[in-house]
Amino acid sequence: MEAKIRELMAEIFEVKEGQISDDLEAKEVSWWDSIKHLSLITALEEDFEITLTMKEIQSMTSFNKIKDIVSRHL
Amino acid sequence: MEMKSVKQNDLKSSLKSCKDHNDLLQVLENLDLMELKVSDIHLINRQLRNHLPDNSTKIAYLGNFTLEPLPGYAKVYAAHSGLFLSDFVGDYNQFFQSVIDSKSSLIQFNPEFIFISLSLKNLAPEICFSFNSLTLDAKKEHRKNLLSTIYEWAEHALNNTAASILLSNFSRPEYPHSGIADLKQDYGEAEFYYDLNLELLRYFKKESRVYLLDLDKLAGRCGKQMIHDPKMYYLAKMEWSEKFLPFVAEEIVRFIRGIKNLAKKCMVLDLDNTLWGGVLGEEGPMGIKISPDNPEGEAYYDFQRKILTIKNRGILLAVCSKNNPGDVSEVFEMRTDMPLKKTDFAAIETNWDPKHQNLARIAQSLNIGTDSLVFLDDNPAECLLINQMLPEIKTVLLPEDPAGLPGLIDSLWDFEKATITKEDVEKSTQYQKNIQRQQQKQSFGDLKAYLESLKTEIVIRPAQEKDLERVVQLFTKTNQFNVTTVRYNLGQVQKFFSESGFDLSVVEARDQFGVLGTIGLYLLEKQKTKKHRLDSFILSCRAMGRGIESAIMNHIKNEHLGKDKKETSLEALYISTPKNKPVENFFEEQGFEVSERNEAGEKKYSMDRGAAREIECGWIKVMDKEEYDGSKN
Repeated sequence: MEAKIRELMAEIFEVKEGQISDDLEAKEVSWWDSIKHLSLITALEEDFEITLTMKEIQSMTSFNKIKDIVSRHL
Repeated sequence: MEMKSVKQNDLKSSLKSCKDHNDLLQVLENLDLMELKVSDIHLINRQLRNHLPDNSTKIAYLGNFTLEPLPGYAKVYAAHSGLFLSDFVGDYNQFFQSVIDSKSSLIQFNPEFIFISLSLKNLAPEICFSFNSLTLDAKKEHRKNLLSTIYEWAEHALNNTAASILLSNFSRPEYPHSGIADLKQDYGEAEFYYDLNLELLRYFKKESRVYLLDLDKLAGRCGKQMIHDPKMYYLAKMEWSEKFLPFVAEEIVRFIRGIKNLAKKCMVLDLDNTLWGGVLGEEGPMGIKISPDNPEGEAYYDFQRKILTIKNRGILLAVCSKNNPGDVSEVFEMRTDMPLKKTDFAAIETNWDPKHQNLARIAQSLNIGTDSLVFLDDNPAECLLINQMLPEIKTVLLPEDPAGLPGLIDSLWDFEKATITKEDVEKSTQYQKNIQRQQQKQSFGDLKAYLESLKTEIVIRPAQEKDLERVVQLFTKTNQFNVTTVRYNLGQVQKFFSESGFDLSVVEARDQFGVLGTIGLYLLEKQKTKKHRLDSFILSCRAMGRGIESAIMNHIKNEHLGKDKKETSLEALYISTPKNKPVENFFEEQGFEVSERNEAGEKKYSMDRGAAREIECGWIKVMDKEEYDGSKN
């Protein structure tokens, strides 16, 4: 799951997978913008076949938080 | 259902191995768009950005809600059909300012297309959220205000850009505020939206550069409940769900293709298990399934009726089938219950030769390129053969179950035209007449006697407003008799038409077999130096080979180098393309001198007044407009 999330983030943010470090936070990088964030959400929902709430989406502000929230749905 | 489909999991590696934009097009051409995931769209967009060619089509997106990520979808869909887009996305809610301010980044971008979609949530929130608390007058006032805002916007956009405008209409809500009673209301929501959309339709039908993009139709196609994603709306003001975007993107690409006149010219069909069920050679004309008296027969019957709708758009039909010619003629004679008649086809090749040879023959007999054909067959091996032998031909493999045939026609983007002209409607008849002309030519040994027997009559006259759509068609579609092959769009043509520095003239023709229609044009730019420049000279392929070009050039010489005229010389240019060989020496033949030539095959010409002489073409009768309209052959 972790690897899949990292792959999706790299594809959508258009960066190398190496740039998606475990402690990555949205506010630290320019390429994690609000539009891309929502594309990432759509991709996560599509790939893992889950539905995220608005509250969850707003709190997914780092790689670790995304991992936690997605794993709660699986 | 296209051949060579790329397995989706190979997409990443196929994309990575692309060296240039042509490789990329090849990968994308074979994608099944319905299978693409959100992450695939991003992957492809990244590659498209890396390999964007210089001649991409510029499109701007304007609106009052978040349009991202629509442009990304449109880029992928366009590339799937062979087109590269580069885009500009307007700032949120700046759609009005951006067309008024001549220094705006939109106007600087100089788009060829502008897509605009406005949400009523912003523009008229009362209509969206409290419709059934409004008075009748208030509802009508809202409608009036909405329309005038849109009309005013369109006027600025037309005046300040040369773009073709794709203007969305409004999707009627799936749950009206008054519930099922809405249709019994004094002026219910349904009536309001029907009125609004109908007024937009009627208003913009007259405005040739504005195309209504029927969002309500697209919402229905997708399923109205699917077009919204409330979560994304509340989070980011995205009005449209990710599921709906492919439908909008596809429609945008259909319009771009239509407006750029990229429609394929001919649909070539197999016969057995394509136009009818069963094998003619085995089942005989009465045994094949082609009438509504059984389920499969009805599917083929509907398929034939759908094919006729394509013909009625001005697309030629042809048959390419392995069958005995006699059997095929017999079917058309005996099965008069078939919607398609033998005369609906501009070319029929039925024999046992390999199909790629027959397709080449069809293209040749219709005087079009093989890249203008789309080939439909139920046999994967035949499609594969064509893909290998003539890769420029698009092949469509038909579904095994005939139930899917009628819908397949709807799914093709290749036959979209932005407008259907008189010439389109008469196209098939024109080709039938050309076959008669060819037969007459063969019966005359002497070319001049044949040309005289045709009794060609033409009129050369300045273009009028009503000619402009046809003029754009000639500019964008003519490949052979086209000296420069510069493609002008409607915005540019309107400029030539309205400015006094240009002579934009069209040529109409007819002969003893009937009307050929508006078959040619020339564009001349008048220069202060008295050296006029012949910018374009175009003749439709169906009017070639009978000296009409000389009659037009004689007219130009008289009109612009005549004794009573002030001009001293005329300049012209020939730009070589893979398709315009027929006019390589056209200007030399007309008495022009080559003044400059380069390695790319470009030739510059000039002709001084003293050197202008008429070329003999006495078998063509040149008439003025009144004489032409007043008499018939």
